[in-house]
Amino acid sequence: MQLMTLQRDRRLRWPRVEAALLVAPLLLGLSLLLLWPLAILALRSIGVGGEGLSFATYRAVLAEPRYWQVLGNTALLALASTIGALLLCTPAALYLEQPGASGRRVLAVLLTIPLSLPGIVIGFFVILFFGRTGVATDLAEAALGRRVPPLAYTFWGMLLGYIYFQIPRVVLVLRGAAAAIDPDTLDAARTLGASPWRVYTAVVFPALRPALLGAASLSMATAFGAFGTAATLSRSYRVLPLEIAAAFTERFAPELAATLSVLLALLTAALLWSVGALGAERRFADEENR
Amino acid sequence: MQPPRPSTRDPVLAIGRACAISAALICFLPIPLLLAVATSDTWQQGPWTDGVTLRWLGASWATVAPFAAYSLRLALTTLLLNVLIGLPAAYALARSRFPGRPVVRALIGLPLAVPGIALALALILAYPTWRGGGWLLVAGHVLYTLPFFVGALVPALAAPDLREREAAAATLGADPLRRLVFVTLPGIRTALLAAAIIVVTLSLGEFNVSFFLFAPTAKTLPVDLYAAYITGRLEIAAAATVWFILLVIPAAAVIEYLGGARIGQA
Amino acid sequence: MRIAQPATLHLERIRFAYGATPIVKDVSLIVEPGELVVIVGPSGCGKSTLLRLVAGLLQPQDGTLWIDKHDVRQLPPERRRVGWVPQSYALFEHLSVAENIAFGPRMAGVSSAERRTWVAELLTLCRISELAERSVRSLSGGQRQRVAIARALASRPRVLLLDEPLAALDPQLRHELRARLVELVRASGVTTLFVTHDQTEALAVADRIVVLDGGNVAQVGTPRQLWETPQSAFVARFLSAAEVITARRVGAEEVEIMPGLRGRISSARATADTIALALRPADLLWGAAGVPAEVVHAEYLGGRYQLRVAVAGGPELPCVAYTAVVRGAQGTIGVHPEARLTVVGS
Repeated sequence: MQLMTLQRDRRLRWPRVEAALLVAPLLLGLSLLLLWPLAILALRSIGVGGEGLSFATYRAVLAEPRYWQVLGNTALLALASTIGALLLCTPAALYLEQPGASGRRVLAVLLTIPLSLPGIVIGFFVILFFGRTGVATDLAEAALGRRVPPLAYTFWGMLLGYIYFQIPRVVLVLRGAAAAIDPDTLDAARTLGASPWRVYTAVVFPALRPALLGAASLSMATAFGAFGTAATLSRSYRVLPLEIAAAFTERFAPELAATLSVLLALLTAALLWSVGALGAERRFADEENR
Repeated sequence: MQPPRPSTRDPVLAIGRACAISAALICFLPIPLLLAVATSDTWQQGPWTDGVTLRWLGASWATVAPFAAYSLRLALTTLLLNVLIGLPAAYALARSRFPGRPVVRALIGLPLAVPGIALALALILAYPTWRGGGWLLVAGHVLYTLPFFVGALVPALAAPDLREREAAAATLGADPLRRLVFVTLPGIRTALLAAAIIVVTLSLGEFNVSFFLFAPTAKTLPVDLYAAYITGRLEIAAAATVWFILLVIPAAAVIEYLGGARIGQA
Repeated sequence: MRIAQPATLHLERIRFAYGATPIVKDVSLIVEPGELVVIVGPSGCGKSTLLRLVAGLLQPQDGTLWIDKHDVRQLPPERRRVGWVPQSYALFEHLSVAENIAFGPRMAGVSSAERRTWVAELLTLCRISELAERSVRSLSGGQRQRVAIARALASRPRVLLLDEPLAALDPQLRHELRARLVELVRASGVTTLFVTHDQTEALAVADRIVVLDGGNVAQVGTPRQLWETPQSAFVARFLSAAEVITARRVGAEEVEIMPGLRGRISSARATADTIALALRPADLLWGAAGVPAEVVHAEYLGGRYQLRVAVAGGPELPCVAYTAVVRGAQGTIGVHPEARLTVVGS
């Protein structure tokens, strides 16, 4: 009896030890490279290691109207680009998931182009089209007969850039969700009296709702943290990541940069967490909390 | 056999088709434009007014090549580190219910929730002396790619039929090491390849973190591109971008072929 | 409880092809009000497609379709008032059971108060009242099936279409659920088309059976008619695992399968000298006087053995034994004294 207990203990213990060994390098690496630096970031933002423990920078930032303006700019850009991307990509994703013509495969591949491009390259594309010597700018000038201010460096140029990089992500998420819809449910809805339009409002969109919200909050969080596109395009329309960069590389104010970073990180984390809250599937009376 | 669906007499699908085509065009059109700019003598006078020229491409290659080389080396180093710390962890996550498993999962996903610029800043503040020499750059790249690497491998390692094959191999007399070499690793071959290519592509295209962590001897191609955008002539910048895209596209194409992934940054 | 005025369903020369492949070649059928007609046939013969054609989810290339004397070919599915239950049941996962059932009335604009009463009645009829607020995901196969049927009935359909409603269920439960299903359909009184590939199910459940063979109607009739008077070898084999052989007529009501093996048939049916017979296991008895045979294959079916035996100079024949036999046993088989052999052909 005792021998058997011993053996059983050994068998139970080994997987734990083995797992710990396998995970140890990762835990060590992440602690050193992620947790510790983030802690330092948070500590610097409240003055530790600099001038002494205080929330002075937080107070200064939150009291400064300019930072609220910048925050508003960032939020508006994130929201507008997310909505734009969703409006364009939701019907597109539904179309792409229909079985059918081979043209759809080509379209799907084209839609993944922005995925591997960094924000700066996307910003450059916007410049090529809407910059001072951009194609669209030239065409507009030719058509209107006068000089046209370039769109690239305004809110609208940045909006186009942000939408560009969000397209493949949104399409990917939505296509996955659209593919999961059982086509028989759509047919069943028709036989139950739903017109083609009502099939969408009563069956398709409710089924897509978790994915739509998930894609939306992921897009918004990415847009908030986007730096490259803004760095290439922004002139007067400032966004938060640019302020962080300026605080560090131009003003040599690491506490300020740290504070802004912490605020930005909290904001993006909150946006991502809202995926779990809003985007969760509906829970019914009988289902346990998952 | 699936019975056929009625054709698109559906209003939403007609809209969908228009949206899909527009979106695809939006995504694609910059590429030919880019090529046109990169091969025109003086873009301001219009495309190819003096004919197609390769001089911008040639000139920018001279500048771009060392950075491309560094970016590749960095990408491969990042991949190696990912394999060394990520593969064992993925195995543990997929196979064992050790205590603290959800914590480890959350920890691995954490870099995705933090904006790149904040990550870079945090690293600089924590290890100011390491900034030169590029080690922080490697750290930043590993942090940013690890979640995708592990995320691509865990499902493959947890797959029930793989575990069944390992069990079958065990009943046929294979010890754990042989099972690992002859069953597990070949079994996750596709996922491993996809994960590797994702890491390489992400690393090649990474800018947000690299911009703050680079050093004179450790400068990546995207950082150099940025300099070209801000200070350089349009045609040269376009040519440099062409080289960048040529570097990145093969990897991206393979990913798409293998089924796509959520990658890239703003 | 009557759900709706039962309707007549009339298909006339329906033809449907998917691209260049014909699936339904020429199907004509009349279903009387309140009737339960089973469409049966091997996989790929067009049964499910036929249901989709009636529902309006597919358009036939040729032929007409009437429901209660109205030509419905131009009507889209949402206006045909036809209830359709696909094999996967296709329940809406984002809605509760009650909401699923209320879907049809909701589309029709029924007020929410009326919907509630109507749904409650259907829940009772289908014996799933306790499931009303449950999520669809947590239901068992049998429960899903009943919800799907309740949902279809809620729209007061004129015709109910069931595509293999029992195929997705546990074999042990299938028998009991089959009885409950038929009870429910009868109680609702709605005209029903029921598709299955299981011949036992078809024979057990139907008022009439339509046997489909590669897109064509092989035979239509009551279960007894199809069993006792199959019009083709295909129908005979499909419905009863029969061995179709030719026999020689030796009298007004007697045929000879081979020397030593004779049996009785119903004389009304046969006039020719050579007759095709559908021999079923129960027609031949192991141990009876007749011809020598050797057991090739034996299956114990509980209380009896179903055999395949080899006879000299003839094909393998099905046979029944009430004593224990094993493969390789030698003995004799003869036509069962009570058997009336089934003649194939019209």
